[in-house]
Amino acid sequence: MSIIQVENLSKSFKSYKKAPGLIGSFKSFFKRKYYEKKAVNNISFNIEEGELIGFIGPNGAGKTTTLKCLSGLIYPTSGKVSVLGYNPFERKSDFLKQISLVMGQKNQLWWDLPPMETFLLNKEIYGVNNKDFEDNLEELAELMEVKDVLNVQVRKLSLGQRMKCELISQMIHKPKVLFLDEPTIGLDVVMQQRLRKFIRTYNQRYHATIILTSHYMEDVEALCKRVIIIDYGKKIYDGELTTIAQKFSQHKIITIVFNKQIVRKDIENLGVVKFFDFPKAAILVKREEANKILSQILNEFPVADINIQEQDIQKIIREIFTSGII
Amino acid sequence: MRALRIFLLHCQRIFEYRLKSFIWFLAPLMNSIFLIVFWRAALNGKSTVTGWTMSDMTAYYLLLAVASTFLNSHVEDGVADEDIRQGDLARFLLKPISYYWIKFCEETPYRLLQCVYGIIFVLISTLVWGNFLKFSLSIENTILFIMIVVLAYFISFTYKLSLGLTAFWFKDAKGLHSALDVVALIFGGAILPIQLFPDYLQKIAYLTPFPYIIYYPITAFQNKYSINILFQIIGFQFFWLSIMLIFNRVLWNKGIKIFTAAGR
Repeated sequence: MSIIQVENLSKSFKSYKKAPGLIGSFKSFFKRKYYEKKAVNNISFNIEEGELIGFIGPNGAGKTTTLKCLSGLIYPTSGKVSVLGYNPFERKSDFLKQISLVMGQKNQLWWDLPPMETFLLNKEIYGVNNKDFEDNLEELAELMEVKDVLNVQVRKLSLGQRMKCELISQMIHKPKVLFLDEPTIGLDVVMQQRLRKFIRTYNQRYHATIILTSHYMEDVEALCKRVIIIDYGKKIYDGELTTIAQKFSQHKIITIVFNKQIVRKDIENLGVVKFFDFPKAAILVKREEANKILSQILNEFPVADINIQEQDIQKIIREIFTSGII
Repeated sequence: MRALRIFLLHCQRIFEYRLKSFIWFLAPLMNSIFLIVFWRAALNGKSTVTGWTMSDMTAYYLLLAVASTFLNSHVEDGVADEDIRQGDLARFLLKPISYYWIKFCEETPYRLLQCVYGIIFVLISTLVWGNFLKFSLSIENTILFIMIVVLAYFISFTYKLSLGLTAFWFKDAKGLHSALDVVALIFGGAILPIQLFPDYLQKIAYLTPFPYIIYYPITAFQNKYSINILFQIIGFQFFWLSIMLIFNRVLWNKGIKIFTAAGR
């Protein structure tokens, strides 16, 4: 049985539109035009225990709203959700003790006290015994490399240190299900890598189920085999990251190393030349013509090496969101 | 034990904010000093007003300074602005502990610290300005007085928390809070003792929960009631607390369904 089951989940928010300026404000004072926005629109998926899923989509796609529904923060407008066998919206204590939602942009640590004080508070709130607390903290602090700052005031920590302590505070009870919403946002490249390493280790060591949303495709590429893509609240893809290209990309890239001098003009009729610096060249060709062009190159050009590849995954996803390939 | 440990961790936290807390303590203190000066001028040689001597009046306002800081919870603005409007409530909802108790643990240490400031102030002023405060309660009265104070705090806290929860529906509830604060101050005896009100206003005041938050704890300390009356006060406090708790639950259960965790 799947650890997370989502069936036809929808969530709408009611809002009103106001015309700009003073007159608009005056009008809206007496009469407001309300409209309903579907943040999540009839999505369904299942997640098995131990999976690390990338949940991707542009801003306003409905990623965070879905995570909020899964963690029981907000009520869905319709649909069924089951996490660890619980209905999240009932927010039962046993359920809350097994999950955690980490939001990268928000601070839950006590600002004027060292992170250790928040860890101790969460230890009591989650009912973690002394031995488990010490072991968990030791392990998490080592994984995160923050042992030396546990007793320094939070406001004096760097953003990266704060984010790592934030994660520790949310994981001191060793959640079985972890919802990570933009955990690497605002962090430098080194910190991002460390955090990725931590997430991977936690997933593997504890067989924890993790859903990760991130604007950085590097996070998703480094960590997730399976991704769910949503846009305008609708699920548009659910499957392996590596097969996204097959499904959505209209093109492939042929890279060639020539062994005799040719000029750029010689290969321009084969496709879009993305790169040319003799002896190397890269040509973007239509997916259905890729094999034909490959044979043509081998027959007509002095080739030392040739390779056919899918397009860069980040580029494909960017194209999906901008060109509306659904 | 777990609840106590959580409460003690929050107590630790307030020492970081001792200066801020002291500055907030000064506001009701100034109010009380002003009212003492006013009544000194108003009495102008008269020995009593409706049975209240200047000494009673001074004691009342000195105790008011303590009661206003300790018993008057100010949890509503944080609940409305930070938790509901800015979405901080999300972090409490994800914890396996009730929002009521976590807010109680956050708020109460501040009140206790301010109460300590208040007691120190009252002791110093008694030494400087004379023996206004005579502790004349019997053991039974003392126990009942402590019960009245504890219940008063719970009524105040639950009432203010409920006020804060109205932010689920109102975008800016500060106006509502301020308007109700004025009513609570007047009917709670924070401007002048309710006994000095005109009859019709007294009747209205006694029909509200506000005298049970500040007025009765002060006058109970001044030993103005018999044991029977003290029991009656406690009975009414339980009544109001039950009403407040029901009101709080209804607001919470309805509000949480429309909470969007915006900003989180």
